[in-house]
Amino acid sequence: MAAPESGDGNNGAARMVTLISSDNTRFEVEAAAASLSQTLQLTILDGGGGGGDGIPLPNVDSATLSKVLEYCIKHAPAAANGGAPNATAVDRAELERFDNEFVNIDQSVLYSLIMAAHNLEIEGLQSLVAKKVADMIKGKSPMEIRRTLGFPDPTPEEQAEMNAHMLEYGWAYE
Amino acid sequence: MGKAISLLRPPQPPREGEREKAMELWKRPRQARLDPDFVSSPPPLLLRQRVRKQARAKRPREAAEGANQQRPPKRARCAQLGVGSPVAMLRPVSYFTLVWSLPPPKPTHVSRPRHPFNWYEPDMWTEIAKHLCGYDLVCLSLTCHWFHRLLADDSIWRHAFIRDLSLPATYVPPPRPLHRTWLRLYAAAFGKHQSALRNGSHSYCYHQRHKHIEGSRMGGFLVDTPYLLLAGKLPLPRCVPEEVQLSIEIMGAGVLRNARPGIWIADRHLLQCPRCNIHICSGVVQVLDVRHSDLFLEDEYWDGTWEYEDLGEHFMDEEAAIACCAVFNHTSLSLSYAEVVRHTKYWIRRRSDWRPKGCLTLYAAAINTNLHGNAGLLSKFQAMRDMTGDGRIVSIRITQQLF
Repeated sequence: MAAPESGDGNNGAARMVTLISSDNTRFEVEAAAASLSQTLQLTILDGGGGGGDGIPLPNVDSATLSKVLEYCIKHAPAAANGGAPNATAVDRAELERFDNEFVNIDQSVLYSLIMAAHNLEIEGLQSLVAKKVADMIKGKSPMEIRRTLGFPDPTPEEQAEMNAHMLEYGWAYE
Repeated sequence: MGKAISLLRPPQPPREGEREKAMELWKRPRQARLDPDFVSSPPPLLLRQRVRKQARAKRPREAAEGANQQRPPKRARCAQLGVGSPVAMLRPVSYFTLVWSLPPPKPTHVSRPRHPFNWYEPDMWTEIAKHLCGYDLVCLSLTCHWFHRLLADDSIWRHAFIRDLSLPATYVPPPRPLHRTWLRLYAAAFGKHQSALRNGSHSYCYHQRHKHIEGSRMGGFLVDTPYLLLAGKLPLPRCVPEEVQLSIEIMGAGVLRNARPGIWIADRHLLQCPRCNIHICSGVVQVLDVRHSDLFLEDEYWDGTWEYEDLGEHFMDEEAAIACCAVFNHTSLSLSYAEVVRHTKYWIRRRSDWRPKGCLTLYAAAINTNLHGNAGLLSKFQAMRDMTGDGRIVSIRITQQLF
């Protein structure tokens, strides 16, 4: 419902906006794709980002931004349709496959991505990456989780504290 | 003139008699300059007192200087600290100066150092926690102090509770009293007591344990008013008598008027038939067990003070093709009944399939099992009420014989 009102259809050809990453790389994308981000959407609706002056994103570096935009471009048509009504099963399966491959990345990239999604307020990407991180944790013991997240081994004091907490959570174990 | 010269002169050591006099003058009590009740900090010390205090403070420091030299510098101490708190994981200052002198970072992720500290982001982890089940949440919270603090937030457990009972994510329950947190409620509803693995069979781990065959958790439904409709057969009769026992015996359905509102949990069980005197009973019964989600937090339930009371029995005196029973939120009956009946073909199994099957909507729970040839169907209705409190009904069981 909201998508047709955003006004990017008025110009005939899709309106383009320029985004500038923290290391001064410029990215030119369709306004519809960038509008997936709640933060950018407001700026774009105010008429920012067009022409020579781009929208600076000091929190996002170029590698992360290109990854984020890859997601946005892929998901923009589906979002413009308001999600379900026009999307065929094939399209949805295609998006799902894309999502699965998209998050199959190194942990540090995953971290930059989740922070970027958080800063730019891209809801779909946020939950996609959160789900991926959750999958990394699922079914693991506390020690395994520590190793997955790259924490050093616990000190004896920490271990004692955690053992004390374990009693509270007795209900979760056999 | 003479006085002016004496002021310019450096102070002379006072003679014996004069010193005595001076001490006396110093000791003379002075009036407090400010009312102590009206000042938060102590009044400023006089210059003389300040000098003395400084001299006193200086002495122990000199004494401790030797010991101080052996103590490692702050930077080294910081590095020794574990992952216990996010602040402890802050890199020493030198880390930042080192990066400063490096050439600008290349746009590649793999070579960039990532420190675990970067992962401490409450909003991000709250989002991640929404995808984890209770067991994973517990494991995560036992990972380190920071996660333990974060996951003590009850909203995370509320989300998990509502999600795991298949209630809609948009449902916002009323706030809970502090001593009955969502964490406790989650533990009560999904805890692995005994060997019951999340299938709800632990509702039988205390009462009638030896008779339990199998069970499964259906989910949660909402009871927002005290009116519950129990049915031992579907479709429902058009109207039922006011009196519950009479209504159950004649129509096979009845309306309870004093159920405790809240989230109710529905489980489906198969039991060995309790001692019964009907000769056609082959020994297995299906049970629709619904209860208020708080029931397992009540001591009276666990110590057996509250017991199931019989509401009535209904015997269908002709061959029954299915054994079907249901509990509806009576206020939303039109909505939930339509939903249960409309989806009959999805949730009632095919004729040759003898396994039981449940159906759950936002305001109702129903189970069904196809039956072999028989001479009738006996349905038994039981309820447990809060006998020590307001007398409201907190749990209901509908038991039906399978042949």
